[in-house]
Amino acid sequence: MQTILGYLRGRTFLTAALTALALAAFLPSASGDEMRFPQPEFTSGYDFPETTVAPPKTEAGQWLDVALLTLALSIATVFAVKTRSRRGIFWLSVICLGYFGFIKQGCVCPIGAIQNVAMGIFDSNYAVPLTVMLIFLIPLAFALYFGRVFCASVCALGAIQDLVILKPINLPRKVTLGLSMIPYLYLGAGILFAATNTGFIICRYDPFIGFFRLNGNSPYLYLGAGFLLTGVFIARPYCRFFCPYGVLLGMMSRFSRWHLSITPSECVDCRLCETSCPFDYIDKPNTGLDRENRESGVKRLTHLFVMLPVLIVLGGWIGHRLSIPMSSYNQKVFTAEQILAEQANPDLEQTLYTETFDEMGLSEDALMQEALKIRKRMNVGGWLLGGFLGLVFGVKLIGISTIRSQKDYEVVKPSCFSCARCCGYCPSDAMHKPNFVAGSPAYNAALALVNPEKEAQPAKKAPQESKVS
Amino acid sequence: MRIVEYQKNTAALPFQVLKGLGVASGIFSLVVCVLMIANTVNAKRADPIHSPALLKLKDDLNADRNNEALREEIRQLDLLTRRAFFTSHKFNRNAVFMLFGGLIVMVSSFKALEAYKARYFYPDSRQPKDDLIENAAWARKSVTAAGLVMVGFALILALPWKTTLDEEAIAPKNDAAAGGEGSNVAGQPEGVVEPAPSTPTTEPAAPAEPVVVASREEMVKNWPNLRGPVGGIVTMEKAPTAWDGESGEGILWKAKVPLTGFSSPIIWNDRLFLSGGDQTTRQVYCYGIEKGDLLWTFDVRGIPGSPDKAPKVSADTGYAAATMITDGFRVFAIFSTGDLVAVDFEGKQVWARNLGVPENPYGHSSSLELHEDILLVQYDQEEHSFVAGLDVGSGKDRWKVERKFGPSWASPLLHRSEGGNELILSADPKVVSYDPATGKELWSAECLKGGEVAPTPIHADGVFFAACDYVCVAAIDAKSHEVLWKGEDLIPGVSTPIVANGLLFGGLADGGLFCLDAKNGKEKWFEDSDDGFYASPLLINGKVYMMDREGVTHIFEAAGEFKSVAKPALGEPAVCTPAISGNSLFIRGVQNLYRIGS
Amino acid sequence: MAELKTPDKLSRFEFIRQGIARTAALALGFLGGFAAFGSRKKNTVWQLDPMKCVQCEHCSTECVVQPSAVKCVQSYPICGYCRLCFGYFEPNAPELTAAAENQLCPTNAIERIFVEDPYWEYNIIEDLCIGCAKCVKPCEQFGNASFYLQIRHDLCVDCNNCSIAMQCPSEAFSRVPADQPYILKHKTREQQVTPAQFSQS
Repeated sequence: MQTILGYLRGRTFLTAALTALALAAFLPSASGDEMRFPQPEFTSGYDFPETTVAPPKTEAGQWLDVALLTLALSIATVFAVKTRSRRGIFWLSVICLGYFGFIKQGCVCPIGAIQNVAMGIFDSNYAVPLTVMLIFLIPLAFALYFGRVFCASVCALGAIQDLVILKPINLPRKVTLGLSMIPYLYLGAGILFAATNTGFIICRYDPFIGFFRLNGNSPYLYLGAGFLLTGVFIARPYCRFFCPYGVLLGMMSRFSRWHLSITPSECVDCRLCETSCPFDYIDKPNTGLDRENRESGVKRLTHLFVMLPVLIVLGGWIGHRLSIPMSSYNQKVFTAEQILAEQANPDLEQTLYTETFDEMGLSEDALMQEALKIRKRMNVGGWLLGGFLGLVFGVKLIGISTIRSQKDYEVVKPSCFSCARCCGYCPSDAMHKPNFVAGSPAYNAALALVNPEKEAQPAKKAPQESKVS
Repeated sequence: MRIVEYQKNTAALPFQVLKGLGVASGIFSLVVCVLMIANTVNAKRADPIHSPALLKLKDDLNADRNNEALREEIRQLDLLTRRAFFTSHKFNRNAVFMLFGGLIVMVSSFKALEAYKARYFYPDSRQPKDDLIENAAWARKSVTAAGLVMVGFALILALPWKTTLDEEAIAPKNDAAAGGEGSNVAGQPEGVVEPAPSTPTTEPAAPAEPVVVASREEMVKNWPNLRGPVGGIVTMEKAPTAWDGESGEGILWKAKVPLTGFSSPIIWNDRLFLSGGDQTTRQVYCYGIEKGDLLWTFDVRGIPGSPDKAPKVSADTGYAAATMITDGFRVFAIFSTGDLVAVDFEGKQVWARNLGVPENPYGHSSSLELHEDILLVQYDQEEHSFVAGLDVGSGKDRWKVERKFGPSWASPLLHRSEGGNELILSADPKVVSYDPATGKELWSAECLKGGEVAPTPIHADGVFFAACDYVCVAAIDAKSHEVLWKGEDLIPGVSTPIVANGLLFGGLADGGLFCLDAKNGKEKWFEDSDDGFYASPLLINGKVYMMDREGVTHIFEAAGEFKSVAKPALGEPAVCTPAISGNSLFIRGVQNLYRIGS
Repeated sequence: MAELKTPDKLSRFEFIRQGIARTAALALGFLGGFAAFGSRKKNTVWQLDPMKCVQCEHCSTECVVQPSAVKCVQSYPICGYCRLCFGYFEPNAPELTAAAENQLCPTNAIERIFVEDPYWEYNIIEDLCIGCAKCVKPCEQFGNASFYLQIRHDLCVDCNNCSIAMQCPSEAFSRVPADQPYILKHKTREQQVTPAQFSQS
């Protein structure tokens, strides 16, 4: 028995061998399928109890989710584009937060589905379930035509953050512009890690999943709490500065045809909506402002275009350098490295992974080969990821340096969440439940802007006061 | 222009109530959150699986098993720990709902307040002072700064990172795999540190030029391998039966062997070869058989892939347990490090390679075999076990077959028959036969399951015998490959048995001689002895010579009844099988080498 | 103001926008089609293969559900009903009783019920089990391996990427078809372990 104890406490090969030897003396041989102790034959009429198991969720549930997602997106589109109702968007987001967040507990969401799709494309052994693919595609398709209505009210992560926007402060664009580069990195890394079968980092570090599961024992609950607390002051911090799916939605939304607009008719430049957006996604008119002189602008652009390939190559090289530490995140590579390190230095203590590998009796050579293969894929991926980021930075710099003239207040299409907050501020939209209180000086002033001749005349039928912003 | 802010009366009661509610629920949520964090930290401490106090108490109880007070203490502590664990989990499970409720109330209150504080209409009274040029400039700066931060992080992470896993590290394996007919090869754990191809160090022999090896006739005249050319059966003109190591009676010469090794001597004409080793050194010795003078010593060193320090082995195995073999032109020796060397008769290295450090808990001990110009190596270890046929001239793999077995300590048997030669290997759980020319598996018989196999399989009268300590000695029909019988009482644990006159003779590893009927495994006789048997017995002129671990050779008639002939003592412990040349016996004790006879 | 944006420029921009939008729509459609034809796979759920499990305790610590959604199960048909159960008792247990000093399970989650001499039934109390595999290891090493771990699907939240799977040293976790969500030993071994066969051997 002493040997068994030794075996359980500190496992070394020697004790294992001794145990096996000691046991061989008094136990019948029992490796593989044979059993050491024969099944008893009961005389008291004892019946074997059944091992009870609970069934998993059904697939029908997943199709229902796809249908509900489409329905929610359609309703959100109507609210954002057609009726321009902040109220509708708000209540829809509460409902979606309840269903997709707390009832469905956040899985599978389109943000995480990025990784399933990436893995499906790069790993031939993995086929993306059709429902997951649809969950990934449908919001993108909506974004392509109607803007990011998914962000407006369907996404549970967005909704929970949107709800806590209580005292938004406007971060200077100096800061937000830099931070808004992070999602590209996150997206690229998420795809790379999924494509090399290393892990789903986007899911793993999802800050709100702890909330959705109401799991008091999850460390991520506190990460989520941190995000929500930040979100009281800095509106939607995850959406703006981390969300990888937002990058894809933005790419689609940029070209959307029927995107939500601040004003349903012509902008009168009343500036009422100027501070209405807690995300700072409204571009001001810039006509009449001094512009960079043509010569220096062209020169700068030429420089930037020349820099673009340099940035791509530089980014690629850094990604390539980074691929080695990144690949160590992969369990196979990690194990292989550990084994090699232990062989180089016999004093190193075995880790759980190397010990298990030894125990399982797998081919070390095959592991090394596979680890190297993953490392190679990661290397290619590192070049691509770095190159992609170089490109993104280059294009961003070029974009900054080519300012299109703009005469109206307009939403920044790629970034705008279509939350419809600004709609209520537009006096041209008096038909659509604005945030104005009838007869108020503000209302009168606004009306004066739209219809100067009606000044000081309160509207007979005042639109209802809104309780939500 | 400036538009006046419209604001409801914030002094009104509903406003104050909402504000108070919002603040209160906010504070409540914060308190709950802090409590949850504290509780989580606490729960980590109350982990019932690794509670150090509980483990210590249980250890104490092991030392003092009847201590009632201690038992009571364990029970109390166990209950306490479990209660703390589950309470803390339950607390967090419930608290999260409180936190959630608090947050909902807080958010709703503040949302409702927004209706009172319509504080949005604040366009700056001044005209926008946006400067496009300036804005673009700092936008560029901002993006560039973000890029630089990312690059900085990336470089901090990437540059100091060192890895041992690269093409070079696994290159030796690739080479070996290429040389080994694409079969999977053993890991070369130490070899990976430095780029080391495991190809032979000397110029490989050109494949067109056949390597010359001694003929079978010459082999039979000599003692080229463990247990001799015909499986331990010898006739001598005058077999010695009486000697005494202490007095020197019957001993022609005695020579000290520099390094210990449990490999048995082999003899070619007038030369005797031995191997020995310790943690750091491995050597091959050549003695002249006439005078017992050490003709040369070959140091095994500088083999690519060979570890600096030999792997741990048990004292019973040592660093040079496997017996050497000679093809009449070269001698081959294998060591516990996985080093395999071919040395010519003048002590010059022909080739050397490392087969990968064996992962063998006691140490590698399988001796070498030879089929024509193919050197046969049984290399059973924890994983990547294999059997390989190597070219005697170059050491390159002729073939290599992976074996799905754990470690074994038995030596291979090359069974020569008219139907063709077979290479028989014993290991837990099977005896497997291979074609020695190609490595093709011919047949297998499962009979040794669940033990540690050390005795070499033997053949006699159309039957193979294999044994495994604590499991059985099994007889396998050489034609049908069926297991004819299994004897589970008397098992030669380490020493190889021998068959004569339809009888199987063996020695138990912990003492005792026995004889079984080779046809059915029935016990014929059992004779107690004080010391166990590790050395393999020989059958000389119809008498069994079986030496125990103390060096006493039990000589008895190969008959159905025990009849002792003599019990001469070597005077020192010995575990090696004797070698025979002419009328002399050559026995290696743990310290010395003896020539016995005339 | 309006004259800055000439109709000509606007339409060019609009043309490019439409072109890109159509391309993107095509790409999305292609991806959707690719998925529709490429994946005819059944719905899957996470499960762990007890044959690969090395009982490292990660199941109890890494699961997003706490206590873990991985629990020990008992396959009664292969259990030996031993009086001295290696999974139940401490290796050095002073007595074969349910007292805390004798029990291996840290959370008292195994129930030991007398059936008839010399057989005892062992049940897992799932509410108490935390999936630490302390009982699984000795049962597999020295017993019939009737204790083993399984993901309980009533508790599992079916993460997109199981966080235990990420940490599992033996890669025992994989997605299995949802219509066979458990890898139960007594189902796969049923025929090998009928009592009749045992009495013969």
